[in-house]
Amino acid sequence: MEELDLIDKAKEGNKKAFEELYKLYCKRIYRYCLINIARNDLAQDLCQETFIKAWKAIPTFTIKDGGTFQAFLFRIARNLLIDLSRKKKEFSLQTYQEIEIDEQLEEHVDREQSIERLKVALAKLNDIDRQIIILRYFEEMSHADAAQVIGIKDSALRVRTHRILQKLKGLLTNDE
Amino acid sequence: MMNKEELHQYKKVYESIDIPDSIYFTGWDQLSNRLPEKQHVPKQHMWHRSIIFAGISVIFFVATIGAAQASKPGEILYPVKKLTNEIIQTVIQEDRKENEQKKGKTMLIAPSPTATHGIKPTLGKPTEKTTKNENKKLPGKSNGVLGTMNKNIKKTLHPTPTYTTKKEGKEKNKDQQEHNNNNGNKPQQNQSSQGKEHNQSEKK
Repeated sequence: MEELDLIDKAKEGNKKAFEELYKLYCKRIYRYCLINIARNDLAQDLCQETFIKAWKAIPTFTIKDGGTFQAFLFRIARNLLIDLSRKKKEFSLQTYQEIEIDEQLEEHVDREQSIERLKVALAKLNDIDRQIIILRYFEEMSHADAAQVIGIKDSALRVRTHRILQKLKGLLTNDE
Repeated sequence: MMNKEELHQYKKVYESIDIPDSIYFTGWDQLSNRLPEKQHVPKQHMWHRSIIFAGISVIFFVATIGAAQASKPGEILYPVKKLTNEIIQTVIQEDRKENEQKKGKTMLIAPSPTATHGIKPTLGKPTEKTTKNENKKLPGKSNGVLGTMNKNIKKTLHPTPTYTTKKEGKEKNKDQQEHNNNNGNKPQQNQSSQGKEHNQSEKK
């Protein structure tokens, strides 16, 4: 069944269809939450909360507005992350970049110098810039979708990505 | 700028983050218990839809009427034009009738300017000021039924020949007597006086 059919059925209250959607997107949402938050258990909770909110709000979702379902889900996840970081400042993204990535990734992935440098560089970026890198280059979202998730204009995102890449390059060369 | 290869490498690292089984396999079981049965549609969303629908329908209605005005007999929109014209005419006629009725009522109810101030109508010609004011208050110059009504009301309220001063009245009476004498129609009073004179002369 296609994604659009699943969305239509989920809008009508079909939980089976929503389960299919959950299985399509749960890994990506969890990964996105984990890279933005310091703890694994919190990332799991946020992932579940994201889908509960999506289930409640899915009748309002329309493709005609120019949005996609992935943008809709990631937008909810991002809002939840912002809420959490406001409530508990210890789980802010800056602290995570230096702690959790080291623990999570270094256990499973070979240590390469470039990755280390990237982690450091990402930690130095501000929140929106980091989100742009994650969504545009790691999640491979379109400009429009990424802009929708972050809540800025498409054109602004294009300009900003160009600047961020230059900035990252500068940060990495300085570290070398 | 950063190389695409470098970014691709970082992407691989990002994708290699382990997903616990509790998310993919048992995650849905936990989630399905927490999902509410009813999904609620926000009221604001419904309002937006209804407002948009109403706006579009109004625009469509106005556009069809506008397009119908240029139509000719035999065309599809011509009946629409006829209907709208009929409606417009009836509405205008009703408005006119109502306005006329209102004006008529106000004319009948409104008291004369002299009566309102408690001044008795003096003998003599009405002054220019009063006539001007009356003309202002009574819109008798308009054509049609209202105009004639107002003129009649004016005549009944201010019959012009009765308003004369004492001196003028005496002079007028004299003039009338002379006029009557000239015409041969002698007034009764004169006749009586003449009869008295005649009797006196006979006695002498």
